[in-house]
Amino acid sequence: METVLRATAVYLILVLVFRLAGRRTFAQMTNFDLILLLIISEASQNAMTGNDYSITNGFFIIVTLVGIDVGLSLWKQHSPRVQRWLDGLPMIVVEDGRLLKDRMDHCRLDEDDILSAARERQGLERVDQIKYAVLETSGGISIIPKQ
Amino acid sequence: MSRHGLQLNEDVPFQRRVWRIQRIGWMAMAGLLLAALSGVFGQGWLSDETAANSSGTLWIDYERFGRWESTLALRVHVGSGASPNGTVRIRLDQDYLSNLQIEGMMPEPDSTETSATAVTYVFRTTDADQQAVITLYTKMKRFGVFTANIQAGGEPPVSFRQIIYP
Repeated sequence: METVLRATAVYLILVLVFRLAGRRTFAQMTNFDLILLLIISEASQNAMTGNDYSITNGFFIIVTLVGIDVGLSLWKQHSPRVQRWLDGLPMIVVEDGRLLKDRMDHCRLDEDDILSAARERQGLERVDQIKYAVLETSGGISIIPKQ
Repeated sequence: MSRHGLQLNEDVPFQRRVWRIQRIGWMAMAGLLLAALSGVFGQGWLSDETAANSSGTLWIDYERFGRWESTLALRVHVGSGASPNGTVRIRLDQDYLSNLQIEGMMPEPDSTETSATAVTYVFRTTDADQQAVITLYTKMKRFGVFTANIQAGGEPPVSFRQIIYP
């Protein structure tokens, strides 16, 4: 019983912390983000396994995590409300070459992030060549160029 | 949704609510970190506490806050009046002991006596009526709020409470 509760608690804490931190947190994997991710996984692993290194314990941790994941995705499919609270919604941050500054500030996005995405994905040179830039729920930026 | 040509499920009021909640969440996390630094979750100045009995013959340094499966130190100070004949008898109640595992004791007791309600650890001091210090290292096996009752010989008991986080 303890295993299932431990894994559930860790899962819920991670969902909450990452949702509060914002979707941009691990959107661009810099070298340091990778290290951060490894440390976080190490810290959460210890909290889940405790002192029990048995196969049974590992099995129940895996089943619990996958079970919650499947359960949540079914719930999200069922209820758009749950989906938007857990995943957020996509958001337009550039409209007709105009930066929507207020939204960008809230999402910890700056002009350089958008220009970098525009260069990488569309080979664009300036902001005024962008029709729309959308911050997706995954944390990535998609760029739609002006025709 | 129709203001622009994108087939996109945008909801700005909802987004503003999320941002507000995120701001509150950041402040809450910062508050938790400050609380943790000050010792509210163990190991800090708010956690270090001393309890003494009414006659001042026994006082114990303990941690008010601890965590499940972590080791906490109990430093038991026995005043000179509480070691007649050169022996110190430290009595811990079984209710408290059932929540933890004693990982070690410094010094080791000379002998141990047990009953249904308490365990008594007997130590010998260098001379009669001498002060003594005994450190117990306890590993918490449960979480919750626990009350310890510790007694030295026939002296009044010391009682304190520990909060153990999961």
